[in-house]
Amino acid sequence: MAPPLTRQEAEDFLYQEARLLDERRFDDWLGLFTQDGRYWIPCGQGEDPGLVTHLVYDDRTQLEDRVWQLQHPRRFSQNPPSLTSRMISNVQVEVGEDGQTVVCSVFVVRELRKVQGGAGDERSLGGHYRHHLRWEDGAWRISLKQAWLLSRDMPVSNLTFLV
Amino acid sequence: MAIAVRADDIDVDELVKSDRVHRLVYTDPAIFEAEMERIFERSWVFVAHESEIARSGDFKTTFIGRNPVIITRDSDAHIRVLMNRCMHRGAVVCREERGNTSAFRCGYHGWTYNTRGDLAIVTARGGYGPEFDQASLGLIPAPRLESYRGFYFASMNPTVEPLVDHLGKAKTYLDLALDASPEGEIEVSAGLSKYAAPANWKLQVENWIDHYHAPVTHEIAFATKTRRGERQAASLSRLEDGHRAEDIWDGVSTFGHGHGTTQKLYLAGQRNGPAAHGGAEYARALGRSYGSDRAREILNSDVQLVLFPNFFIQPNRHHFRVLRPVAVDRTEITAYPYTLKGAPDEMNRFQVQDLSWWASAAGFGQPDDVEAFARCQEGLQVRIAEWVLFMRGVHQEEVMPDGEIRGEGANEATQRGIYREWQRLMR
Repeated sequence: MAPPLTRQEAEDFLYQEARLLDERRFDDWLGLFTQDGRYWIPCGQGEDPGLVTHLVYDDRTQLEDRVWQLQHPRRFSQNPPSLTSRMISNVQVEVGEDGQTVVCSVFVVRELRKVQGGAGDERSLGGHYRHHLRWEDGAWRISLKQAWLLSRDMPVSNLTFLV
Repeated sequence: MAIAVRADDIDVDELVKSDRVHRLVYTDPAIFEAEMERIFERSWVFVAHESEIARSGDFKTTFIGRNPVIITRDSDAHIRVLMNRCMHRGAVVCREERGNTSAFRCGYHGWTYNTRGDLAIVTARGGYGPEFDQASLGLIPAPRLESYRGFYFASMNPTVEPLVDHLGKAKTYLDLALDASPEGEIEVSAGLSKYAAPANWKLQVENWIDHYHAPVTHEIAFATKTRRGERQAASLSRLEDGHRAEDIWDGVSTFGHGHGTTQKLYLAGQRNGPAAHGGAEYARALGRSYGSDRAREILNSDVQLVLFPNFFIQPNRHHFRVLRPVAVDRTEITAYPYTLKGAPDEMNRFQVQDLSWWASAAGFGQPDDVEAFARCQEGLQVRIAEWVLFMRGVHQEEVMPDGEIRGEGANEATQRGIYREWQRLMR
């Protein structure tokens, strides 16, 4: 039986997740997901990913691939890697369908690749997170992370870092 | 040394040689300006697939070169291309990407046009005198609009050759893409996937039909599959000069107008083309529709086609892409996933996900191409290295009876074909 999740606990969870991403502790970040966890950056209104294209819709296997290649020096578009700092705010805990615990928040990610020659400008990406959390083995884990980018339907280059 | 300052000073023959292209072709704003007129307004450019605007009143907005345009299906179900520019003071009359409407109303002074482009309503009409000719003030249509099997192309050039002549042999390859549907039709209904490149538009065109880069640029994308044992990585050794695997024809072709392909032909019937995820049910459906010979041809092919200057189709990933040149060093690209009518749902579902996995701005494949384009755009600032080289396989071109030029493996015949057309149009 899952205990109720307070807003402060939800914030602590999101802040810790953000820190793991910003510190590039990707394997620890993977550990936050359930075995059937999904990482989803939708386009449009987030329709069925088998019917409508999307930026990311990773199952556990693909997410492990994503983390693996992010750290590979021959992942061309992540060499040099994206440095990120993210801020999370407006955290609310909701009860979703089937009684799931859903944490809604707002984020701003600053991202910078240290590219010589002036092409590596720092940029900002904003949006909304929805984390579906599940109580497993005495801890909250992510069964679904959705990142709704404001620019999800616009032509943007290189979103190969983790949002 | 070629120095382009003003568009009318461009010496095309100094900039493009048979096996190399001058760096200014990618970096000079004056050349970019000239390209918008001499290529994007002189030739045919892709504007829409009919399924995007299936019902009367459906519209989409896009660009012909830098001209904003609206593609509408009017109340009589005719498809039209109209300049997105109010005839009064010049504002665009539509800023939505797509939708359904009965009219386009300019938000500035309220002039309103129907879906045929006629000026239907003039705000406070009484203030205009007897000379005011409302009938002549409709949205201006593109001078030419023609289609091939649902693909609509427009031209700003009233005397451009007919589309079918412009396409030439490309029709054969478009047929191959469309006949992968047992009903011979595709439907663009799976959203749009967009990305931007901080680079010249031609870097994208070259790359779409470049066999040479794939095993290098996409090494990691392929490796994510091989480490799961899902498929063989593209092999560098297969691309070595003169090497020809026993059961596969692997090469490129170009056939006039800058169009070209990369292709694999699985002579021994391995399935890696459109059929890879369709299974036996799909193969039987193709056989019923087209007969067993044509079905085998479709199943054993793996073709990627560029229609110069702005269109690319990859049938084995169920999508086409369209580029928009924004500035000499900025390009925006939209990928249009499509479903094959009459193909199994699971095949279409797999393809939507696989395309997103590969080609989205967060994908495992495409962003590495864009990284290459960005690096080229930076490197091409070196003034004392003037040339970009396309001489690979120039001594190994084979001219087919129909005039198509083929090259095995990672031949750069396709890029040479692009720049022959560039040269022709830019003169």
